[in-house]
Amino acid sequence: MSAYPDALARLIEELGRLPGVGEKTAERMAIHLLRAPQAEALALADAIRAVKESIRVCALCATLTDRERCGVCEDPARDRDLLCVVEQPNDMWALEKVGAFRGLYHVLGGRIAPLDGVGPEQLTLGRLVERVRGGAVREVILATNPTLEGDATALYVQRALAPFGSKLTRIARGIPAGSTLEYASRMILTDALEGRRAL
Amino acid sequence: MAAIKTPALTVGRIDYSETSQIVTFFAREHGKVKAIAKGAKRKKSAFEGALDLLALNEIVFLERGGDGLSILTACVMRDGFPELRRDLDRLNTALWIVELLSELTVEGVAHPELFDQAVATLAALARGAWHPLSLSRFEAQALGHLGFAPRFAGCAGCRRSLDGEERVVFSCRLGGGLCRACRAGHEGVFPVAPGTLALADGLAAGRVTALDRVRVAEPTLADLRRLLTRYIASLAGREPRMLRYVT
Ligand SMILES: [Zn+2]
Ligand SMILES: [Zn+2]
Repeated sequence: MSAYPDALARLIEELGRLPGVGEKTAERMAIHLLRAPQAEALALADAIRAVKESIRVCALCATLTDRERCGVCEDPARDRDLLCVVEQPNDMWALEKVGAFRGLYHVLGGRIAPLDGVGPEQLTLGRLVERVRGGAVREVILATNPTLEGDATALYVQRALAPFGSKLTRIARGIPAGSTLEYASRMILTDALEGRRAL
Repeated sequence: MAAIKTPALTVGRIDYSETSQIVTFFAREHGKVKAIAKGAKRKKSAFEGALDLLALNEIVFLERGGDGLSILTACVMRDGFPELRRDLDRLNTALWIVELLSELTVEGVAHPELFDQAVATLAALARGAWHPLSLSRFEAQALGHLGFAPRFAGCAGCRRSLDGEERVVFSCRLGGGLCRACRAGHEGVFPVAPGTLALADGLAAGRVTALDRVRVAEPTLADLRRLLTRYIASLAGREPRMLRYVT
């Protein structure tokens, strides 16, 4: 039985669900919020609400955005005939942080993992085919993770896009096999992009 | 808890916590092993890419902790079969072999011959030393190693030869073919050509070795695939996930 008032106990429980937050940390955070000025604490609540209520899927590239189209898709300075295919928005954001890529993205929304029951129909592959089918895409860079499922996904995408004549490349293997883009360093990500090879 | 060292294939992995994974191995001396790999998802994991599916590793694990899971303490990759990851059809075939090993084996029951055969089959697939019958041969022999040896030769009811029988069916429950006289009353049977059963029997018993000298007509090949996969699916108790991807 907890000695905390119910509302505080509830906040501790909710914070404790966050990744990397143990019970002790959750307690410290909750007590910090309790003592913080009203406006500061409520700003956090507002930010959480805004994220959940306004974030949606970009109509073009399927990343997460708070508008109809994301900032990258709307940016007139981007190379529109260069497409980088990634598994998740996190991967796109990791590449954007490095700033080494000037084209557009396509977010698949996962990876093909047949043994886990995740097939191509659960990804935005159909939408990618539509984007490439038009013929305006010069090169498609397959930047799925270098895990087995990421490789499998790249092979599926390669097969699906083969008929349309765009150049297909795969990012270089600077990223250790089995690891993910999200965790790669700036140097490794830049090298992986620059060292991409034709398929 | 004693530390056990063994060669092992990675046949499954799922996230367990933010930093750990539960990895399923098919270990040469121990059969299926489910082990927790602590810190596997950290940036600098001690296991690196060795836990990726399909990898042939040398693992060290501590058998069964309190929660019924073994603890993985070391995993060094011997072969990641990189060639399999560059060709979709080969990769799908390899994943089907992985699924078969994972579905039809039980924890703690060793099948060293099956392990060796699986590694040899994956290596042959990676090299491209592959024949239309290679997969069926592996499946037929795997069933034998696992104690599910089907009765491909002779009727599973009356034991008479099926040679010359026109209409033969295969019963997954009996694990064998049935002649016309014996089939009555058996449910869940499907038709199969007697020649297909004979071929499956030859593959399972290791009589068909030099595959490149065997000529098999397309319909027989399709019949053989159907026979083996339906039987394996019935043993697994569900439709295997890789079947729709394997041609
Ligand atoms: Zn977008
Ligand atoms: Zn009979």
